[in-house]
Amino acid sequence: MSTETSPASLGLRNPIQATSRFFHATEAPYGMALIRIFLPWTLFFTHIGRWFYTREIFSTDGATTPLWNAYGYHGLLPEFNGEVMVALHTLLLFCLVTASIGWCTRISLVVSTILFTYTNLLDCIGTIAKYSCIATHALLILSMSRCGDVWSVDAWLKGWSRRENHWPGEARIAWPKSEAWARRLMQLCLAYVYFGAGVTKLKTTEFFSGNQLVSWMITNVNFEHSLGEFFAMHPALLIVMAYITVVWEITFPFVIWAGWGRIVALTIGVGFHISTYFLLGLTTFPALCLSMYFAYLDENDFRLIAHAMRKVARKHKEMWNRVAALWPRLNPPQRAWLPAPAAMVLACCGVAVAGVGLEHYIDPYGERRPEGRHTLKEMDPEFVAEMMRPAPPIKDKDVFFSLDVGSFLAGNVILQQQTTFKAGDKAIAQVFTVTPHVDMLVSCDLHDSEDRVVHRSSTIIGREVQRGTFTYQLGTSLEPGTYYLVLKNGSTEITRRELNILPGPDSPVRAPLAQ
Amino acid sequence: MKRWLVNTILVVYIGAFSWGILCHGMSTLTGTHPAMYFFVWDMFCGWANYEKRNFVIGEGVSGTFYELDPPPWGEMHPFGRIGRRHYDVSGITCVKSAFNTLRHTDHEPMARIYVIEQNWSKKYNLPDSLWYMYFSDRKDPTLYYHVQYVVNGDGTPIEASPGWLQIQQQLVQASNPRVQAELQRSMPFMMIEKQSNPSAMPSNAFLNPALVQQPSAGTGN
Repeated sequence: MSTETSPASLGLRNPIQATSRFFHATEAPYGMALIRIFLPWTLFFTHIGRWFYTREIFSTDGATTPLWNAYGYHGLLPEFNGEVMVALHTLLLFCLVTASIGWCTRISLVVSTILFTYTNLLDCIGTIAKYSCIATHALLILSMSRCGDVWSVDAWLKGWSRRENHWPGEARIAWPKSEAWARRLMQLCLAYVYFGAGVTKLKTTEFFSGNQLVSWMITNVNFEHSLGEFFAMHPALLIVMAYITVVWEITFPFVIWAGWGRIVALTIGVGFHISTYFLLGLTTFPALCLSMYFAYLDENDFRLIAHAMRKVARKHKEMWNRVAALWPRLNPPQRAWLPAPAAMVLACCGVAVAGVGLEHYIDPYGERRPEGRHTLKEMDPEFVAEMMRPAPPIKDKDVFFSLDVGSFLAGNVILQQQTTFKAGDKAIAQVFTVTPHVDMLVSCDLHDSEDRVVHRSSTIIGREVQRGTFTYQLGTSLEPGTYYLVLKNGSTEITRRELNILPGPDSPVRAPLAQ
Repeated sequence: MKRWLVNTILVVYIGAFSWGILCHGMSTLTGTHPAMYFFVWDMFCGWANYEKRNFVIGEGVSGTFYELDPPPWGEMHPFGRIGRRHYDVSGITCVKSAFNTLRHTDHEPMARIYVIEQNWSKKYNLPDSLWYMYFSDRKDPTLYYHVQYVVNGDGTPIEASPGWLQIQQQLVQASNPRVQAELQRSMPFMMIEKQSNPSAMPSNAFLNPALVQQPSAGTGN
C-alpha cells in the first residue's frame, strides 16, 4: 500500500516543512510520464477530425467564434488566414504525437499547450469545452514537469535504454529523479475541478430531485448512451447517483491523499468517468480525466505494480520470453547528424508545409473542383413556410413527461414501476411535468374497465413544481380486473395507464355469474 | 528549476484555482475575462427539457429558399452525431457561418437570412423500445419552430428575438393576472444597449404585452 501522506499528516507541528516536503520531495516521474504518454493521444483524436475543418472554424477564411468575443474582449488575440491556421493546427497534431513518444518533450509540450489553447479559444461553439480547459491545465503542468525523463525517446537517446532499466523498483535501476511539485499540481488541478463541479451541483436546486438528470440522460447532443435512456425512466437511481457524485466531488480534495480515502475516491472516480460514457455518451472527458489519474500514483505504487507484473511474467515465463523477443532492441545512436532540437524544428517545418499542401489538395470548400464551386441546396418552400409560422402554444402532451405508477416512493419519486396490484394494496401515481408550464389543476382518476370513474383525485401543480403525486387505497370492495388511471389537465385527458387489480387476501369471495 | 520560481508558480496556480472556486461559489466576477473560463468549473449548468436544433436558411431575391448551414461541403460533428451549428445556444454565430457559406459558393443574391430554431420535448428522444414500455400513446412529437434572427443579404440585422424556450418562460411568468395588469398599465419600452461590437445583435427583446394575452405555455392542448 502507498506510503504517500498528506501535508497535514507529514507533521502538523511544522506545516511549512511538511508542505515543502509535500511539493519538493524527489521521485522518479513515472505517473507524469504515463500522463504524457496517454493524454496527448486523447487530444490528438479529438483534434484530428477538426483538422479537415481548420480553415472553416479556426481561420479568418471561415467563421471563427472566438471565446474572447463572448466576454466582450473583441480582438484580444490575433486571428490568421487559412494557410497559417492549417500549418499551426498540423503542428499541434505533430507536437501531440512527439510529446506522447517523448521526443524533445519539453518543446513538444510547450508548443502543444500554446496551440491547443489558441485553437480552442477560436471556436467557442464546437471545440472549447470544460474538458479542453482541464486539458490545457494538464498540458501546461506537463510542460513544466520532467515527464520526459522516463519512458521517452529523450530518455532513450540519453542512454536510459531498456537493457539498463527493466522495472520500476529494481535495485540496479536509477531512473532520474525530480521534485514532485508538478505531479502535486496535477493532483490539485483535478481536485479543484471536482470541487468546483460539486459546488455547481450544490447550486443547482433541481439536481437532487433527479429531474434535471432525467433531461440530461436523454439529451442527444453527445454520442449514443442507451444506459442513460434506461436510467431516465428510473429517477430514484439517478437521485442516489446524484448524492454519491456530489459527496465524492466535494470530499475528493480532502480524502485523496492517503489510506482508504484515496482508494475509495479513486475507485469511485474511475467508475464515475466510465459511467459518463455509458450514461451521457461522453468520450473525450472520461479518457482525459482517467489519464490524469496516474498523477495519484506515487513511486511506491509503481514499485508495487511492477512487482505484481514481474510475478505474472515469472509465472508465465515462456509466454513472456516470446513477447519480449518480439520487442525491438534498439540501441541509441552513437552519433547524431543533428542535435534533437534542430531535427525537431526541421520536422515541424516539414510537417506544417506538408499539412498546408494536403489541405490545398483536399480543397475543403471545393473551390477548385472541375465542376466549379458548390451551389446551394434548395429547400422545400412548404417546409420553410411551416418553420416561419408562429409556433403554437406548448401542447399538454409535451408538458406532461410521464405518468408513473408504483407502490413505493423514494426520494419523492416512484422507486419501481408497477401496474399489477392486489385489492387492499396502496397504489401511487406520480405525474412528471416539465418546465415551463403554467399553474395547473391536474386530476388522476381511477376508471374501471367500462370507463366509469371509481375514484377521483386532483391536485394543483404550480409553475415551479415538476411532480404531482396521487395515492390510492385500493379497497377490497373493488372488483378484480382491469382499471385505468386517467390523467387530465383541467378537463382534457392527457394519457392513461392500465392497472390490473387481483383479488386480495381479504377480498370477499364472489359467486360466479350465471352463464 | 529554481526553488523560488517553483514556489511562485505553485502560489500563483493554486491562488488562481482558489479564486475561480470563490468567484463561482459566490456567483461573482465569473464573466470578467476569458481567462475565468479556465478556472470556473460549471460543467453541470442544467439542461433544458426541450431538445433544440438550428436551421440556417437564405432567401434569394427570386424567393427561393436555400440551406446555408450545413454548407454544401459538409459540416463538422464536434461532440456527437449532430452538426456544429446545433451547439450554438444563442444561434447568433449561425449568421456568421451563413455568410461563410455564401462566400464560398455560387448563388443568386440573398434578400434575407433566417436563423430558425426547432424544439421538441426530449421525451421523444427515448428509443421506441423504452417508449412503448412506459407510454400508452403514440410517439408523435410536436415540433416548435421559432425565427430567432433575420438578417439582410448585406448583413444588416433586421430582427432578433430571445430563444423559443426563453419566450415560453416569459409567457408563463407573465400569465399571472396581476403582472398582466401591470404590463397593460406600464409603458412599453425599448432596451437600447451599447454594443462594443457593432456587428453583434441585441440580445434583449421588447416583450409585447399583446403577446401575453395569448394562451400561455402548457394550455395548447
